[in-house]
Amino acid sequence: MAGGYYGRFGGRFVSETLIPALSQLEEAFTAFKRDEAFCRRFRKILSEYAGRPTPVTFASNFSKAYGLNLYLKREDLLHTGAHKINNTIGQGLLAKFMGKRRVIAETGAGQHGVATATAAALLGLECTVYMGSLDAERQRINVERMKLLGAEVRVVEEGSRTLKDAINAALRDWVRNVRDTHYLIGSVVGPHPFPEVVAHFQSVIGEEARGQFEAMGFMPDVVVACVGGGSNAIGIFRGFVDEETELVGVEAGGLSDEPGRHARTLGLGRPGILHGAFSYLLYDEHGNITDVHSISAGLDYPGVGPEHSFLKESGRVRYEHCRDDDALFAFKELSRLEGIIPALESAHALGYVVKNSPQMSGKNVLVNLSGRGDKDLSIVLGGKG
Amino acid sequence: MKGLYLLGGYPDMKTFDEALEIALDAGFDFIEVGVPFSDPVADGPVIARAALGALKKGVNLKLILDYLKGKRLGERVDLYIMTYSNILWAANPGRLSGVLKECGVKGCIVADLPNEEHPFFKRAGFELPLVSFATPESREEDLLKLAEVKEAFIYFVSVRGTTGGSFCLDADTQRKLLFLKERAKVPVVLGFGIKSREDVEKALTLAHGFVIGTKAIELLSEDIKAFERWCREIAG
Repeated sequence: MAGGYYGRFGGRFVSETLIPALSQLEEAFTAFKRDEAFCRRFRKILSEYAGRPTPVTFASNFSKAYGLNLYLKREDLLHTGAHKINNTIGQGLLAKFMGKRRVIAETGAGQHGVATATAAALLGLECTVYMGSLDAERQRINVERMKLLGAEVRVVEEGSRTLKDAINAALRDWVRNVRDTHYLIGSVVGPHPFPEVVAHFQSVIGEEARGQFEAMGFMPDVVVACVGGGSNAIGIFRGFVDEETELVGVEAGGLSDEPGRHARTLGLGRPGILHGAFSYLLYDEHGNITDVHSISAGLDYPGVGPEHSFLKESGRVRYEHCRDDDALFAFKELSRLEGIIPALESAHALGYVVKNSPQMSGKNVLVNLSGRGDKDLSIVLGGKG
Repeated sequence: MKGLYLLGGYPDMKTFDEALEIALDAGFDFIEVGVPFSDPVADGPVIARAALGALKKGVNLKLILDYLKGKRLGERVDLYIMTYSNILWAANPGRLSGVLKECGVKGCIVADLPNEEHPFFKRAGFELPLVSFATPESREEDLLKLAEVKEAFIYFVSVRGTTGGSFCLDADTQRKLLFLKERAKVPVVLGFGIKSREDVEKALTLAHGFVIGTKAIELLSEDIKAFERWCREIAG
């Protein structure tokens, strides 16, 4: 990465008011990575509080049923139930390091909101979470959870009332309160240096998994992860990007390829500018952002992290998709075969594996099980998308 | 330099046209024509709501430019387009420059395009001036760099926030504004939160000019006569 860009993707397309704060964040992040005491504290909290390292589980029943060797990186076992906590603890410490007293966050499925509220409670930071009203309805339990953790939840009624609009609201808050507030962004999106900050804190997933495979004496043939903004995917890919391993990112295929009925940003979008970065994006002929759909609240985002756009164009990662129905099927299949209920987001990675199992026959496939699915029961049982 | 922001096609094409005539008669020196974007993160609720409303009615860059060209408005007043990066990007910055020049547009004010990303659009072939911003957060090195700007004017954003807040400049911001005004090679224009004659007079003691947006949109959504009276009061 050079000058805030991954190849031609990235940049800092935000209000001028935020530029000094982004520069400050960039400097602080560089210093933070060199600060032994803070890094030690980060590792200590990850192991003693969040539950790292997470295991790699061989899914033997699923493997037998589908004729491949499926390994799961168990981020679902982390405190708060998803990989999001890696980043919120990291950025929470970074906020303290910069002397900020307040954090704000956006959330789609609610996982990042809960993880931010959790880190804020632990680290003694004031916390406000923005959530689209449609998502807040879909994930009511997570709203209650955030409140219980001491966060203020602000429900956003504008636009598509989902993740995109929550980010808009968080950006507006940040412009107003930039002096004492850190925007704890939840994915590898946003203006530089956020994509790099989040990737750094999530790369623990890939580093660990790589070590765990080294200990087993082989590398996976394929690594599969779901991609909304793309933080769990970058996190696991970073451990294998220098290997021969095939890397597959799976986007939410929604109901169909018709505009508004999917979230295939990399698959069907083109480069554009939203939320601070030049990256693949779904927009119409006039430049306005298109509505997206996914059964999973964590994946229905019209943008994607700039590093993914770079990895797509460089050809290092292949980006595929999984429809709502296939994700639902995989959700139930993993629950039934392995006793593991996956998040609907992660179920997209699994759904891709199920659908393409003939081509993966006999291969060692590692799926990043980025979260657990308890939060999705009402959607799955209601059959509502 | 007295500037007025009007959202293209708001509240409808006919009223927008009337509002432009009123503004020109009242004596505004430049007009910023807003092009609506689906995700207006730099705007407060009034302009954001108006923009989303205009989008629903089918207002877009092409429609606005066709109108401006037909009206030859650029010959009567300094004309700027105000919008967001993706609107310009989607129109192909290289091709768009030619069209904007034909329409008599002097430059663009792009809310989510900070000064340091101007080269991104220049590299993509965009040839018109892009207005630079100063803010209460600008550092001394930023202000010194802005002092060297030779294109259009410098837009000093008066508040940490979105459009339409209240107009108040803290002592530190006033100091930055005067520092820049003394050194700048182009006019420094103050915007965000200016609503009344009183605000305007205060702005003119600190900067070379001002620009008003939210209040105009508020009035236009209610009553064009009230808008007319207000324009005379502000620009007269």
